[in-house]
Amino acid sequence: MTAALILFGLFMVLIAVGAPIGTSIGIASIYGIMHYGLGASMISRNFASSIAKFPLIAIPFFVLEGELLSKGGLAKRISDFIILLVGKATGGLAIAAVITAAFWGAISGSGPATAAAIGLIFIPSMIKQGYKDTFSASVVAASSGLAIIIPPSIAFIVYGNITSVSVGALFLGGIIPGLVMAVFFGVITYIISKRRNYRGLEQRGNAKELFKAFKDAIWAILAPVIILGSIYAGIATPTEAAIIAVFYSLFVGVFIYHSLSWNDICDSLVATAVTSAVVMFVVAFAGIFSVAEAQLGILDAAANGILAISKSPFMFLLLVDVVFLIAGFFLDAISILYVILPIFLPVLKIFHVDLLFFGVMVTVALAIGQITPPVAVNLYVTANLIKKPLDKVANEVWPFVIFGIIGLLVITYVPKLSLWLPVAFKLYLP
Amino acid sequence: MNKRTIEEWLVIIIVSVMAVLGFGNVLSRYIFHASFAATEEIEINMFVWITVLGIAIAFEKGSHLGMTMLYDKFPTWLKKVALVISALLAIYLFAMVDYYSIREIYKDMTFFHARSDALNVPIWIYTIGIPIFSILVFEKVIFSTVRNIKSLNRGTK
Repeated sequence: MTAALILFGLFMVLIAVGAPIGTSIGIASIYGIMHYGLGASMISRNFASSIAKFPLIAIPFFVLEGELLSKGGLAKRISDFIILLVGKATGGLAIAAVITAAFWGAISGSGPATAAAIGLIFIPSMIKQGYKDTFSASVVAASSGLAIIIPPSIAFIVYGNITSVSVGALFLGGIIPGLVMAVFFGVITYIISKRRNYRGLEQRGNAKELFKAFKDAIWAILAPVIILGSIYAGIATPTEAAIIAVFYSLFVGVFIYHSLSWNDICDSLVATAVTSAVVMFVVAFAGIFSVAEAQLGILDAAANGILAISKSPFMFLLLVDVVFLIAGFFLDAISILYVILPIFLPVLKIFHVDLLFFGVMVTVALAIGQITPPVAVNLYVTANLIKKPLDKVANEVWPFVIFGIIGLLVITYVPKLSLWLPVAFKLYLP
Repeated sequence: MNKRTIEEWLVIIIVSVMAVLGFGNVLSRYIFHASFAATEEIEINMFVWITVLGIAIAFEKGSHLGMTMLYDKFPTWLKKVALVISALLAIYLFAMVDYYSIREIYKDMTFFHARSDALNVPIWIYTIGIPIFSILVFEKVIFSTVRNIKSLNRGTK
């Protein structure tokens, strides 16, 4: 028990004093390994082998694809079309932001990357239209969480890496829950806009304008079709689909829209290395942390603890939701998958909880965790865009957290929402 | 065009090579029905390299995930202590990784002569990227820590 306390304690104390999560998890793991004589040389071997996995290469490639499409101006084109479509409604611009983020979720697999792409477009124009800046930042941050629920998704790639559930099946499982969450975020956006009298845009898109905007955006709209289509037609693995998507976005940006300069491409490549390294820094050392957890007997103790609390699946799922939501305040999605998820995995069979459904459910909880401070990666991005500290923006984010939690409960207790598509496509047998 | 640093050029080149190799592999498998899976080996090892380089750049840009809620409330001297501890731990962490990597490389070169599965090249060729590129991690950790402490000093004046 002391072993568990030291391992987790060291990890949390280091994060609390402001060390990067990657450093904290690495140091805690090294402590666990050395102090309990688990073989210190596993540090370097694990570092390389946790990263060098073909399925994980999908992460940088999906990031690169999103960067290229965003720098190529495709996010702007999609948003123009969606604003014409719904801009006239009360809170039209905010609702357009939610829909655009949901759509961008089908292009990008990263919440913060989506928040940056969508935020740059919507936040300035929302502020100009009279929306409160902190509200604008919250709308974008919350709906950018959809990026890790709607495929492609870094969280699903990592979950698949940990549990060996097919990433392709997980991707399919995320589609309906992602749309459900989009509806919940859209509803709360509408309610707040109505109450604060955020009016819609004056201009109305007539059929001709709409068609033109649609035509302008068609290459962006095709991107998710190509990504998901190539996976589900059985042509490509998720990693290959990511690679195809990279070259598709390069082609569209360079040859069709002529909007990608050499400099843009280089910037995208650097941004890709950084964004993926921020994730992989945690992955590289978190693997050792999970091993230490298992070796030190923490997992067995936790399993017994969970079974002692309740034997009902209903209560078990509620417990998981609560634990993941609380963890989401203090940790990022990837650390939670490595540090918290292994605690619950061994008891899933006892409660007859399906592994794919479980992955979708916890990912929804992780998406909410991206907007709950102090560690709120999406909110951090949008707060920077409006140049305000995180806690000032946080006041506006709570309604989205609450509606997110209601959505999470729906997804938790209606497993069919997550399982129907993968089963219908015969990609998964529960 | 802004000037790019050496680590930026390195990731630009390596990520491009990874993408081209990956695309070539996809094409060859589905058009020519011939797979050269050996490229997978290069890709995954390059992925390790760009991760190390990306970690370095992220230290410089301050993009790593973390929590500053408590840190922000620290008095200046405690902030400096926290910055230094955090930097020393990051250096210790990569020093450990390097130490054991170099030991493995040494053993591979002198005794095991281990070769890779697909391309049959000596494994140390891949492993050696970790200690080499992590020099940049050390540099960026020190650079960013000094910069942050300096800006704290300026803030208190």
